[in-house]
Amino acid sequence: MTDPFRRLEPPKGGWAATRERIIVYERRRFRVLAAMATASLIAVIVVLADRPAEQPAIDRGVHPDLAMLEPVAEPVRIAPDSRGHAGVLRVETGSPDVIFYHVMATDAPQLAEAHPSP
Amino acid sequence: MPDTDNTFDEVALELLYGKLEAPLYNVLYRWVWDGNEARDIIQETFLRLWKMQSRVRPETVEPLAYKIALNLARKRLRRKKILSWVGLEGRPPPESDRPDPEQVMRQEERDEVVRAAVESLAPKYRDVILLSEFSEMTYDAIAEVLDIKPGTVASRRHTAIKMLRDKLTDWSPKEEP
Repeated sequence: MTDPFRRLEPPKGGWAATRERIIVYERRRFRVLAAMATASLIAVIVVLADRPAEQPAIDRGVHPDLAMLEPVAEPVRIAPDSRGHAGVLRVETGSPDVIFYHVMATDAPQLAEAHPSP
Repeated sequence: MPDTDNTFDEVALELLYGKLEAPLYNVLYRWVWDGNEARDIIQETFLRLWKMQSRVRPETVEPLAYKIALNLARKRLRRKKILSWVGLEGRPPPESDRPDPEQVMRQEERDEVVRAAVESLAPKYRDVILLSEFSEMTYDAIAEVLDIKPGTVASRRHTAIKMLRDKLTDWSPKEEP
């Protein structure tokens, strides 16, 4: 008889082979997850290591123009009558919260000679 | 599903495999006509169920397994057709493990007749007749697998049987599920 639906027996060992596939898949998935976790950890370490240490607001190394000046031992005072003997120059820092000034003063009368008072 | 605590773990998967392996194999064999390929599709189906285990609901896992398996079978058939068009893959011979050459030859001839008859059915009829013959599922469950109405399952089965009877005069189908 020609039975189109003759029952066929599946080959043996089907579940064992399926289980083996599942194990391979789980191993691969674990490796991928472990690799992703490791990469994330490395990225965090690199970012933290590259972060600059906190610096004081006024650092002589911050602006190259300031580095030219020798540190002063005491505050620079500009007397009210020192016009022509002192000058103040604002240095652009790129941040509105940080303002530097170059303060220059001289005892010699050169500035007064160069820029006489009216 | 035999699992009672609503989880789909390896034990549940193994039980499901034991239940569905033979009917799935028979359905898939009539699609791909290759025992090794049918077995491979079953394994792939269960691997996919495993991958989506958190979303699997025990009450619908059987129709889901059939749906995945049929989709995989269709996909492989399409690929085979393309490969045969470009001459990279031939039509596989019918599977047989019987030792007697004469008997094997007779069976192969019958298989060829059956194969030609089943392949002459449009996929929508083939799906219905194969699932109703092998899966032990109700019309409602078959309808869920195929995304059609239960009434459509019945009418397609009727049409498929009529078409097969025209080609296989000595065959009678089993009772309705």
